[in-house]
Amino acid sequence: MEALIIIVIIGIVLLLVYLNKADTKFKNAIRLIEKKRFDEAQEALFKLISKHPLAVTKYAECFYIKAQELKNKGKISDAIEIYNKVLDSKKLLTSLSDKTSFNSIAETVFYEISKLRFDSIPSSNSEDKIKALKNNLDFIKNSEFNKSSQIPKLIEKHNELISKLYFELGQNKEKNGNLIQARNNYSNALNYCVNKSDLHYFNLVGRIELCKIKLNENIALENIKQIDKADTSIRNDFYFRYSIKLIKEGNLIEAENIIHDKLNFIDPEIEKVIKICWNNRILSTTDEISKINNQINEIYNNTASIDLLVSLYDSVTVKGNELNKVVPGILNDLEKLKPSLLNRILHHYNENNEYGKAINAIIKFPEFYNSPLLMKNLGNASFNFLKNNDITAKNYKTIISLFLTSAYSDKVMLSSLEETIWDDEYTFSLIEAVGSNYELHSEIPENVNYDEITESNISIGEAQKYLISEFENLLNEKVTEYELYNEVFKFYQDEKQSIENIIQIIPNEIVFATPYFAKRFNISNQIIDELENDFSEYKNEESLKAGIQYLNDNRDLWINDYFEAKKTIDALINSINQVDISKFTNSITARREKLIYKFETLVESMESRVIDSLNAIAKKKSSNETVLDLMKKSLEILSNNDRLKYLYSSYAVNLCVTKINSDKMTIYKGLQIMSSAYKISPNDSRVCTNIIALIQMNILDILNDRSTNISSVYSILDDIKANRSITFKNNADELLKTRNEILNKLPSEARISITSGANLNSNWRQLKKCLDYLAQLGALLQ
Amino acid sequence: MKNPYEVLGVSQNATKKEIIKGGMTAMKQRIYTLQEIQLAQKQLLNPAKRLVADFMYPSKIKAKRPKLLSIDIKPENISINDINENAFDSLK
Repeated sequence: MEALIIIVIIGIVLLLVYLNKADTKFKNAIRLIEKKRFDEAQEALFKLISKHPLAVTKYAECFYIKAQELKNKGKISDAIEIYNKVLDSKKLLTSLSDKTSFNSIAETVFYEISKLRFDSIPSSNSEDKIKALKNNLDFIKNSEFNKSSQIPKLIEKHNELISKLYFELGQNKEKNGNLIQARNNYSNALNYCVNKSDLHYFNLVGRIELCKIKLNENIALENIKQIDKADTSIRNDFYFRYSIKLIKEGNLIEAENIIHDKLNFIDPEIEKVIKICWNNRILSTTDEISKINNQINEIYNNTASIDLLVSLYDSVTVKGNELNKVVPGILNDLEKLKPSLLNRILHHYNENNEYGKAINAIIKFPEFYNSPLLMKNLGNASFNFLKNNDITAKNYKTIISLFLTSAYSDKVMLSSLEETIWDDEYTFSLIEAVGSNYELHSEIPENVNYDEITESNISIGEAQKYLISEFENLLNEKVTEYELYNEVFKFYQDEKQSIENIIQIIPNEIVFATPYFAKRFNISNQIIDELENDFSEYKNEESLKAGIQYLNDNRDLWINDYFEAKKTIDALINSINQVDISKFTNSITARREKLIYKFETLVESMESRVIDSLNAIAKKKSSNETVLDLMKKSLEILSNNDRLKYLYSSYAVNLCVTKINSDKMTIYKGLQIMSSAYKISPNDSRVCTNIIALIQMNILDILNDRSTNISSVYSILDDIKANRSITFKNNADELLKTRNEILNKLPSEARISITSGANLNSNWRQLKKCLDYLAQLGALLQ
Repeated sequence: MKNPYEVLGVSQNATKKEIIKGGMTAMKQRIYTLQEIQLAQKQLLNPAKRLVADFMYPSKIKAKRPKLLSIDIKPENISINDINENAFDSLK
């Protein structure tokens, strides 16, 4: 056993000696490399291949240095040959060799070879160049040494060059008329294109689409955006040929658009394209006019179907705008067809009880709301629609708003009056009419006046009211679902009230409409402007209130301010009702408070609503600190409101008395609450009586060492001392009595010491301080 | 509310006499109930309510008989073959 150990030790020693010797030889070889004696170095390293891990790497490095020198001298093919020897050295690697270091140098050398091959591609024709480049690409891609970080960039350079060469080839083929081959070359170029956002790429896309046009193939419309970024020459060529292609395909409108949008410059050839497009327009306009003339003839021969009438009525403006481009003024002639078409359409729909369709036809007529006759037709169509159809969640708003807007116009009633011949000598008075005002009508029919109602001077207002009541009866009868009923009648009342409000306020001749109608037909701004003017002139806040329903944007308006202020008040009331102090605080900001104070009626409304809500809550929750906090917060907004001050003080007194008596509140907390109430109502006798009692109790607690808030109590007492009210003073003798009682219980020496204040320890000093507070707070004068 | 003019079978310009006569005719025809006929007569004999009945009649708006449309412009003499497609040749 011992002999075996000795043999192993000897073996290890011999191996170390052997390796040490190889290392020395390796170092010598490195020195030879440093002296540029590469052949000798390589000879020495070759012998160390199986003895030293870096021998092969250094052996290969010698070739690398030699090749670099040849490359620098411009001997490229010699350099490549020597570089290849580096790679060949791989076969010398043994199991001892450091493969990582060898691979590192091999990868560097491989990049050098690939780069030299790329740089030395002969400047022959494009096809040969492409072939050589592709070969080199294969060479790179297939090698095990293609891991250098520079290789991807080199591959990119190959691709870029191949793409450009294909582009050149494509152009040559296109010039020679070999369009299919040209397009294939461009497609190949596109495949090798590296950057899809450079000019080369956009030009390629342009050329491909140009080939398609020349081959009479369909172009890829999605490529047009890219062609817009190509060279101007390619862009113009493409769009010009494309416009001609479109003309050939009969799409002259699109061709015209292309010329207008993309080739908007003067050129004789472009002028020709424009002329062809214009000719087409003339022909199609002539055609369209002929069709319309046939339809006009049908209308006057009474052979036109309702479908034809409706289709022409619906398309007159669009057609007119199109035809007007060729025949200026024809739009106006076409628009003149509308009244006649509408009369016939309405006649048909009324005959067939199709009132919904009648309504749709009327509201398509331009500014129908300015025509009393159309508004009358709208009113009777809405009434008859209701009579013949069910009211649904989808249609009730339209029907109600159309009817009310119609019925609330005295002009509509006047237009109706003109339609009837009366055999009696009746006259009609607008005195009670809704939607009527002396200033509104500069001209009224001869048989209409503003005189008192008599048997022969008939009230138009009575007729309107009768009509509205008939509509209400019908509505009542037609809405059977309970949920919808409430919704419909709320909407009806809101719409009715709103239009009544604006009629009462606005003195000028405008279209009075319900809010839904006004918003739907874009006439609410006129109403809002009138209401704003009224407020600016007369400060009538009712105008702003009436305008809220008509708001449809966030313009800088009095009505918007008023609306925000009103919403703020609603939110405040809501938070009071929910006894939610954080909601209250979040509802009111300095800006919103300022907004409320801009409007007198809103301030009044806020005062009464806040107090009413607080009162109601105070009754429900008689001793709740959050209610007190809500009152205090409300006082921050309504600081001068005596009712609120009284409410706060009373609630504070009740809260403190109830809670302290039932041991649910400390006397310190009670003093805090009461001092706050005292600040608000210093002459409230209940507040004063209770705060005096609480002062006594807190002082006794300090003297009996039961208080944990001594300095805070003193601070409160200092505040009260500085602001003693008359009522406080009148009740303060209790404090003096307490002081005397305390003093009387003390021995006479102590009393003298306390009075003089000399030689007092801390306890006596505390006693003296308390007695001083009682004296100062209880003093009759001061 | 039934259209009183329809119930009585009279025109919108009916006189008092025609309204009363219409009532009698309607009663003979027995299309409407006596109550409906009486209500229709009452409505047309009350000027304010008759105004409401008139409101229920659709009115025609003013419409002129439009002229037939015409076009005086003639197309110019030019054909697609007159255009040089290579005018903007980008390979030149």
